[in-house]
Amino acid sequence: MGPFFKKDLLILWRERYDTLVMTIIFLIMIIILGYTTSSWVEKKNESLQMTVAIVNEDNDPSGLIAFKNAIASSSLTSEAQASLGLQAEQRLPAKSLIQILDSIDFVKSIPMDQDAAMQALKNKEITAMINIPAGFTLATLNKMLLDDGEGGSKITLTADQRGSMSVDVLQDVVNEFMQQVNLQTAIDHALVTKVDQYSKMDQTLTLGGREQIAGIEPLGSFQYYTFAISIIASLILAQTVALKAITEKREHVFNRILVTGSHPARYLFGKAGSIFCVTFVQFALLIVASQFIFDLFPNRSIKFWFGMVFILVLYSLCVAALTMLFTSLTFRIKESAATGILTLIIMVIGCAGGSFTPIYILPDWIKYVGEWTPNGLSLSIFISWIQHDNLASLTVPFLRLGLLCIVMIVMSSLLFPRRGRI
Amino acid sequence: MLETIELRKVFKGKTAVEEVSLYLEKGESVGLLGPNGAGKSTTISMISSLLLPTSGDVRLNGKSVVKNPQDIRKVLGVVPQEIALYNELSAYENLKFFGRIYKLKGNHLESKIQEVLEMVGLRERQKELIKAFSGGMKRRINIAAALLHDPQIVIMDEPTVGIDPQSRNHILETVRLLNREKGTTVLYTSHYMEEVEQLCNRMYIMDHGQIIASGTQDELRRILSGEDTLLIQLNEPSPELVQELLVLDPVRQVEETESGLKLIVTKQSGILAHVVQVAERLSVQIVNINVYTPSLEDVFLQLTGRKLRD
Repeated sequence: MGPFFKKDLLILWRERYDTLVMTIIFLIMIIILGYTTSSWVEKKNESLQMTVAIVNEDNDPSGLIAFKNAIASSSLTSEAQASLGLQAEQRLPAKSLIQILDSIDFVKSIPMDQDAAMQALKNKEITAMINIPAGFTLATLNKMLLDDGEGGSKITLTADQRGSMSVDVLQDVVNEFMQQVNLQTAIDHALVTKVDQYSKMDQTLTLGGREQIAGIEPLGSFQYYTFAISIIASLILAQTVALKAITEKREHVFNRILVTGSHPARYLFGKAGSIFCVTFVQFALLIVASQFIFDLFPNRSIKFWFGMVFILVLYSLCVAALTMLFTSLTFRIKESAATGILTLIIMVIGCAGGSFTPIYILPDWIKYVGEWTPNGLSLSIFISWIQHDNLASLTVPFLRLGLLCIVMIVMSSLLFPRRGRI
Repeated sequence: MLETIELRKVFKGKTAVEEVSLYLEKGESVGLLGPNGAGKSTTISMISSLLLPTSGDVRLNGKSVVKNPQDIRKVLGVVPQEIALYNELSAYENLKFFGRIYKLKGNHLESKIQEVLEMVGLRERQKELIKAFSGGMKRRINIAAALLHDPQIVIMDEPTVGIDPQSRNHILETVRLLNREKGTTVLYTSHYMEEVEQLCNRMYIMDHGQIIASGTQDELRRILSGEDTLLIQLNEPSPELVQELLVLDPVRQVEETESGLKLIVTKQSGILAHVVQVAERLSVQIVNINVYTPSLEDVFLQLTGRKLRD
């Protein structure tokens, strides 16, 4: 396999300027698509319509009364008590959260009790439920206005994992609400001389708090398209390498190889080896370039980047297997039709696998088909890694990708013509 | 050493090769002649184990090549009609790749590369990319790639098609060197009779998928031993003269040439007088007449009814 691998790598190296130009074109595509279709990816369109159950165990009026009673029994002056009472009435936290949710056009909030909300979640009638715990108003007002206590009990967001993209948006909303509450608290306290203390506070931990949902990170359009376009770039590279087999067949180079007594598998695996390397390098170049241009993954850990390299290695193996399959196909189909057929295959799997448009906006059946394409499956693995940062949760997708590779290698071996039939 | 036994190949109901039986003795240089579509390349593909015959067998030292293709692949070098090289690689890189898949390594591979480059006269230009070479230079590297592993048998499929005279001479010289000095067995196919006449001891003539004649040059010429060839130069073309001459009994074949006519006639006295009479009657002026012994080209024309390069 060594000579074949070196030869194919050398040929690809000789065509490095073409590859580089293509890589730059793909980078430009990432920029264009990242800007123009950011709303598709960043979950602000109507396809993200969601119904959210509000399980409000808090009682605003009694919380407010309890707060007023507390300040009445304090040593504060009557003017200060009146001022704090007024502020408390204007800043009832649970009420504010519900008002924010109601103001978002793609969120429909419905008050429910705990059991009904759980049942509705199981039945997929709602996307998520938000629990506002008992005593939330009192605890939050005490912390906000009196700097008393540890803050409110946590608002809990419960969701079905399958709705994770919508949940991600909802989580952003809750997160933003809490940040606003915390910021306001910091400003209030700054006016009362505790500027330093509050400006240094971790805003997400001080007041109210929130339940983090399995460490989901939001996905940006540039992140999405960096991977979607890089995947398409490598598919096109696989096609280019496979189509070289047409010339090798036409010019009888392949026959010359056979006459040497070399096993055809060495020829196929040579192509696979070279495309593995080039895919890895091209993909890595696109990610690195995008990282510098768009600051794709700020403050990500070393573990995240190692995981990314690991997934990229697996993906490159998958492209290598696909190249073997494409190469075998070019020996089976007519020379004049080969380019068209391979392009068609790439277009179809590209569309189904979300390489041209975000998978979220595609119909469910296309999403299902896309999950079984090498590009679709790989894209979902990359996205999962970006959002969850957890390799263990990707075991099943990895196994599926491995299975897909094996199937493609077996198919390429079966399709590759036997001796005397080339 | 190598023989084919009633080789037959049928493609989609069309017979490309019909019961071809030929043999090559060790150290021989054998020509395989035939016009386009005669079945030469198909025969070569079957001999080199690239194509399975529909029926028949190819035997190397008595062993079936069809059943054991690896045997012939070790001792065979094939120079295909096409330039079977990687255009994006240099001459040296191409030879190194093919050498390595012939399992040559290290210094031995390096010395073989330099040896074959020297043989084809391109050692100085080994670092240049194939795509920068002229057609003739590409063909020379095409030959070099088939010689790296010191094959006992070399099959050359029209190695001089479409090249400049310098490269052609170089290739012919290389074949001579291989056969006469190194003792390599050569099967040489060509459109050019003069090449085969220069290089080959024996030859097979193929047409329409069959071998229609075979033997040494003298044996083949003897097919036309009772004939002479007349080359008649005319002042102008005359189709009427062709028709009239064909009626004459001794005239076996008439072919129009650029300057007149070429006749194959049975050896008999008086034929010249008949030709002159007919020309006079038709008011056609004969500028010149040459009489000579038929060439292998004439033999081919006689056997197939068409010229080798048709």
